[in-house]
Amino acid sequence: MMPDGSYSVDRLLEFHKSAGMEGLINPAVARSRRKAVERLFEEMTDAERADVRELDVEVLSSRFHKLEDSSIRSEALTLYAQRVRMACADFLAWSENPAGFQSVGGERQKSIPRGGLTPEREVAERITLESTENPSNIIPIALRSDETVYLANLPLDLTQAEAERIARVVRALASEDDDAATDPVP
Amino acid sequence: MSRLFIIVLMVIFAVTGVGFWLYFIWGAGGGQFRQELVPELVVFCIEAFFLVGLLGLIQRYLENRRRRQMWLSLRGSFRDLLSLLDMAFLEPNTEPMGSKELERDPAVINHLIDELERKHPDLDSLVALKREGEESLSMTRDLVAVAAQLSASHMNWWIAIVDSIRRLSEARDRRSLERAVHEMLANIREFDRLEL
Repeated sequence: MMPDGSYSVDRLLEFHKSAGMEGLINPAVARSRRKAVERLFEEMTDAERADVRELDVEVLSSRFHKLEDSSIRSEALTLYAQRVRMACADFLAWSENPAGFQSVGGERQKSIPRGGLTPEREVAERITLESTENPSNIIPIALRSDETVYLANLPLDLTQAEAERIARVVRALASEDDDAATDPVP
Repeated sequence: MSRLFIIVLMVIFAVTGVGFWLYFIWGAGGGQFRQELVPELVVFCIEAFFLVGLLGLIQRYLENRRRRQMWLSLRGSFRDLLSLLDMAFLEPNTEPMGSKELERDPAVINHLIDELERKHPDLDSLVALKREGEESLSMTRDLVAVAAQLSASHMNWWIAIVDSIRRLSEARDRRSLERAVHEMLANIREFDRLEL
């Protein structure tokens, strides 16, 4: 299959069908992208259907108010939009230079197999999860593996001298012979 | 009224009505009773057949439909949480589950429990689940009254679901969040198993 100067959605779908069969693109990737394009096709304008270079996937996504005869699931729509974006990128790259075409690739595995977590990662996750509960002006500091403290209301233009002043206050609160008792977070 | 009771009543009135009618047409003797009272009894049986039987079944059908709609409303209220879980466990380049499946298919819950036993959701999914839990908590809590209209068991399991969503929204680490998610899915499975 070679480019024929057409940038229509039909041509994009044809490209992914043959690219999947010829091994230019992973068949599973090609199939998932074709389904995504077909899902979003109904809200495309005639101009976008005729030329995918006109297609702004963000704008296209914002036109949807229902998906699969049900209210929008934003995460599903985002997934389809991402696939359409990758489909267009590969199609345009192939149209410009079929000989040197290389696919942008597929999706990465999101989930983690059981037993694949490290303690450091769990601590980092805890900080992130805790911070979702806090307003943006509260900064969590993982003090120990089971303890987090928060700094609040730090000004955006905090100077070194002011930071040192805060540190002095905190130092004054600490007991002197508790180095062994602490369990610092890496 | 149970469905069986309504059907038995319909059969009784139908058989009695046909019996009286045959007696009226083919029977011999009986005099005034057969000539005057039997037609009245046939009409009475026909009326009873339609009023007690058929209308009872229609009412029961409408009642079942109303209960089904309530169940769907309840079940659909945590579609977004299930959708986020579906996305969290989605294999690369595969299709997410359909909205209808997430809203009403009990098999989805078993699938998600199996996935949760084999995989950890990534951090982005955990954050999204926690936020969605915070957002949907008040809505699911408000629906306790709707669950109570179905049955006491529905209400009890619904309260358990709301409680697990609250724990999910309050979770501060992966372990407690995954535990809350598992609890929520198990409670939804029990809710699905209840008879409507």
